[in-house]
Amino acid sequence: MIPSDAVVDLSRSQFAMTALFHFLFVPLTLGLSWVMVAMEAAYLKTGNIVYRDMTRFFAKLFAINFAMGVVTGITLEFEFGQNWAYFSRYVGDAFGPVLAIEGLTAFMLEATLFGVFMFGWNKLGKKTHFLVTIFLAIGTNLSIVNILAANSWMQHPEFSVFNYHTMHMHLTNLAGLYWMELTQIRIGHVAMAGFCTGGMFTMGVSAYYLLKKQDVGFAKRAFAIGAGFTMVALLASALFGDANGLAVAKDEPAKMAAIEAQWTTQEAPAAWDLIAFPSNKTESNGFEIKIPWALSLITSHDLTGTVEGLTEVMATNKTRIESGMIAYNALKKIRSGNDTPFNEKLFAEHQKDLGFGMLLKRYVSDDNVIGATPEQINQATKDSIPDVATPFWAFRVMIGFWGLMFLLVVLGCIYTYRGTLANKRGYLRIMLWSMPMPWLAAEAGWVVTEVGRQPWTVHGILPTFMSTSSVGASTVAFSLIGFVLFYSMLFVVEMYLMFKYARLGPSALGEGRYHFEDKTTGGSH
Amino acid sequence: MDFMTLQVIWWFLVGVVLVIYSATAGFDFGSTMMLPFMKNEDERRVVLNTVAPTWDGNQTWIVLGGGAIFVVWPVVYSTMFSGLYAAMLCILWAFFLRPPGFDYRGKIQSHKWRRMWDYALFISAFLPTLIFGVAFGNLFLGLPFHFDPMDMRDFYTGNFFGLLSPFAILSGVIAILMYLMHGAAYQARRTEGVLRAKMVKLQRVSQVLFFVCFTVAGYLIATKITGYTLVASPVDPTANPLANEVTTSVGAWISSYSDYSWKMSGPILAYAALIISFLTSGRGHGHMSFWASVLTTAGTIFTAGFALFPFIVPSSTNPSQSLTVWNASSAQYSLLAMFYTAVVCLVIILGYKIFAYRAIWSKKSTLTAEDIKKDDHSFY
Repeated sequence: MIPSDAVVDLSRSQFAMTALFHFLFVPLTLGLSWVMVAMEAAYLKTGNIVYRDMTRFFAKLFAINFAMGVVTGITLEFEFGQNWAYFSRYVGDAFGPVLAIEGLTAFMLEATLFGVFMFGWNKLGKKTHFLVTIFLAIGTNLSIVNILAANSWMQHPEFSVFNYHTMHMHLTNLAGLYWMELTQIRIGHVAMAGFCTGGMFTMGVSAYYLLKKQDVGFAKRAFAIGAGFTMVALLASALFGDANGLAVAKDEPAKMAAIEAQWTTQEAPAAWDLIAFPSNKTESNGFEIKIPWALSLITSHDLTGTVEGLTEVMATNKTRIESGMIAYNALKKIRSGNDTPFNEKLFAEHQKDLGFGMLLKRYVSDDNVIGATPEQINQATKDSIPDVATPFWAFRVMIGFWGLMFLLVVLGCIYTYRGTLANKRGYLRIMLWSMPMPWLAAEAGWVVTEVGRQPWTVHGILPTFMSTSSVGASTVAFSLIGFVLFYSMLFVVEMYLMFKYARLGPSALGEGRYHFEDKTTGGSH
Repeated sequence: MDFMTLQVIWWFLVGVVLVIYSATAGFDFGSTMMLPFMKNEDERRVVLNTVAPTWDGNQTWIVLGGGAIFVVWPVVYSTMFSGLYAAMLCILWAFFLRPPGFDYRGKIQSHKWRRMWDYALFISAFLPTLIFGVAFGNLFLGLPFHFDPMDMRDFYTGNFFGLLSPFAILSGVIAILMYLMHGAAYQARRTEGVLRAKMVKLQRVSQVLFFVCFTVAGYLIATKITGYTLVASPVDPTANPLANEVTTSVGAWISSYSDYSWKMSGPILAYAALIISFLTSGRGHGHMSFWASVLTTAGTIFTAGFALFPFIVPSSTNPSQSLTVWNASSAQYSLLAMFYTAVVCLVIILGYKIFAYRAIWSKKSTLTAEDIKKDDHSFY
């Protein structure tokens, strides 16, 4: 028995919504924590009180954001058990350790030091406090290490074996999950995306003060820190992103083909689709603008590379589905007590395709996978690739924003270097309105990864439609509506406070050194 | 280490994490439960700010507990979270109010705004505590779940209101009283003067009520509640988790105490620590009373966990499919790898936890309204 389509769709919508919402707060926490380290380091080095105020002011914005990160993060841990019970039970042995380590290392460290960081300014020595800030940043960034190790295992499940007695995936090498190439690359990629967010945020907020001619000295310094920071982060994120592409092409051919909307394998040198309207129905692209040779350059950095087309990927998947039918049938026999050496040998031979056999469970009746008709096998084969248009476009959104940010930051560095920043009002206005860009790029990146992995929760092992809990559709619909309502309300409050404090600027510290301070009556903390 | 030893060690470690959670987040919950009933904003800010610097780190112990259960007993994690869907949702949504309750409350100077967050913080403490208590009570009664023997998919056949039996509600009340007395003991240690006197009084009242409820619950378990006994597990329990031999009888939980005498340490610790905490309340700086209160929460959780051993969650509809320490765990490699990881991490955590508490409290071990006025912009 498998969950109904309604439960699967609702559970997916809820997880997508809550995870993407969570990632509105994560990148800023990641990046801003290091921006604050840089600011506090400047304070320690120069002894200039403006850097201390700068750290404390950005800490206020950090705190408003951090609270939402905590709220939305705990949701995900609950959801694994609530909505994805079958997934959690099936892979808890292999996937759970990394999540537990996330709690043990990252979450505990950041949650504990956050309070010390906020409340410790007058209680700790300068250097001790600086150390706390550094470890707070390490804590927030360790969470990326662990979450990416967990998620990369879902994209490319190594270091684990399936046990038909327990119906669990069992872990075989804990360290392997962290040393896996894909994990390492993606840790770098996502961390840099976070740093870029912290940098763009700092620049955007500072641009606002420069436009309002409020705390100009403070703002110029903060802008410079943000610009340098973003520059490094953008370049590094591109390097990691490039390496990520190579790893995806190797381990997840269906995702790679979907990202580039390649229905058939091109001969090298292959052309790159700048724009295309791919359709899974017709298995072709409606309208295309192509750049000759570019795809080869992207995939191999010379003119020999190409991307395996979805037609070829599906042909491979079809043979795996046929093999998986045998595996599933043998598994059924073994689990009903018929564990003869013949069945065990048969299962061992076809075990690697078990997940592909399970793709048929949606179509056959009475769980009769082995009796699937050629028609049903074709349906399952069509299901074995993701919806192409979504990763294709999400990828281009991500790359597009990267390019825009890169241009803006280059300009920002030039203006800062020449000392003309405060006069470039048009540019400052653009910077203010560009603040959402790193978020949109990061969200698009997650859409590429997660939609591109479909139809699997664990690539090649566990289909998404099997992974949900045995709960009713109305239950999930209720919780989904609740999440939308709760998150909307909290988001309004969060944004209100964010704008309020960002507008107040360093005067929010009540130090009596900044703009507004002679006028306001101290209505804020 | 052999497999069964590891399974027992992890059962105990999960218990220890829950104890630390109760002993630390417990006083945060207790403290924020008081807010709506306090008349004076200065006092409310004192109470809030005594817990504000450390609450997030304390609450994270439940994240750790959840993570530990996920890896050690994946089937417990998946069955409970999905089976108790509505209850878990209530806990989660109530938790939502906590971070903004602390971080946002003081950011706008408006009476209405701050009172709203007082109630939000109350709900965020009261509701999860109540539901956790009710859920714990239901472990004694067993929960209606079973598995499909082919693909091991779990099915839960009860609903939210089925959880609300009188005994389970009593367990919920015990949880509330436990955190309330612990919160009051903490406040008595961190405040001064009039506020402190009120807290000592609250501590004593809630301790007496806790004593009564805890004892009544024990009496009910001995005389009224049908308990479960694991007569035998299959040879390889994790490979055959659905074939336990389980009997049920009234008072079975208590009779398991006579099979394993070490189980007695739970209630003995709970009662002894409770009495010491009560007798020393209001004396000195309240340190002794607070630490005895810590041990009371530990004893209470040990009492419950020990009584259930070796069960984790008994199934009321299919007792043979009950989840136990022997059949619900992950494989040996994960348990061992995570054991070493957890020991190293917990030692490090202990180190920086001590640093964090010392950083906040070593200069001055109490907080007053004057302290907050002096540094108004930094406090919540």
